Amino acid sequence: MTPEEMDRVLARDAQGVRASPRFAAGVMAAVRREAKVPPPIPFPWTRAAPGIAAALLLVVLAVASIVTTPSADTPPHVPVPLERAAEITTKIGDSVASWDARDLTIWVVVVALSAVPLVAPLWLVSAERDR
Amino acid sequence: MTVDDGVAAVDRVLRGDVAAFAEIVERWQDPLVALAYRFCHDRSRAEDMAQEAFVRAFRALHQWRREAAFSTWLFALATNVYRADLRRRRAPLVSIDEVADPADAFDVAADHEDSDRRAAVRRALHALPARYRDVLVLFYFHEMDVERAAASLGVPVGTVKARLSRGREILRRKLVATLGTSDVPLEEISR
Repeated sequence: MTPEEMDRVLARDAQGVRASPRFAAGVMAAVRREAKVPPPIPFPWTRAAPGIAAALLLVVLAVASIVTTPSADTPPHVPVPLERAAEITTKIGDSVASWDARDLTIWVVVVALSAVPLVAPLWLVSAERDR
Repeated sequence: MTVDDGVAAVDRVLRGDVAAFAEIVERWQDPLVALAYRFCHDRSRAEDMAQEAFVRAFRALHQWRREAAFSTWLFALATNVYRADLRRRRAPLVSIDEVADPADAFDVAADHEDSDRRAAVRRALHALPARYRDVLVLFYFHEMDVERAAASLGVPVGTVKARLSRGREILRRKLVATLGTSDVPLEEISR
């Protein structure tokens, strides 16, 4: 096959292909549907800005605290809030470890009862669908 | 409506007159369907792709900067839609029946061997890597105008020329392997 023949074949490809008579109507129906769709709600940057700034600040502080961590020969300095958090976590851990069967049963019952309002609507929907 | 004077209709659509978009559809439906057909060789799918391109154009009409002609912007948008569609779904194999255009007197008169050759060219074209296939499709769609093909693809003219040369060379090699030898030197083909 010569290049001229190749050019001729490729140039004539789709020659005579036209949109069908109903094509424009179909497109306009789709366009009208599209026009009815409300524009997407823009992200509320002004409202979110303080939160984003605070998050960024926290990240910066965390990075800074990692960078300025003292070497192994100096005693580690734990910030007061972190010290308190560690204390509370230890206390919770100790109390959980000292649980007996009665405490555990009460805990299971409380968790099960608190799950009822969450599970009940799902169960009702499922029962309605099966009906 | 002349080639690029869809501006008035665009302005009306942007002012909220959705019905004015029908003028744009009427003007550009055949070229957009034909371009889609060149990419997929399936009439029904070509119309679906062209419809999607029109809907995207309607949605993005306010993004047309008016530095380029409306047609340039529309073809670039449609090309992106079609290429994305091809990436999502593989193009169907091209059958000889499918590629014969009933409106084309040449095709009606063509013999079986000629149909085979044309089908082979189309198959070879669609077997090319996408970057060569797309350039070739747009080059021939825009009547061998490299600059318009480059504008539709959103790449520099030099890139189109390089891909065109390489794509035609690969295509020619594939066709020589399929259809037989060519007595034309490679340098002449890849000009």
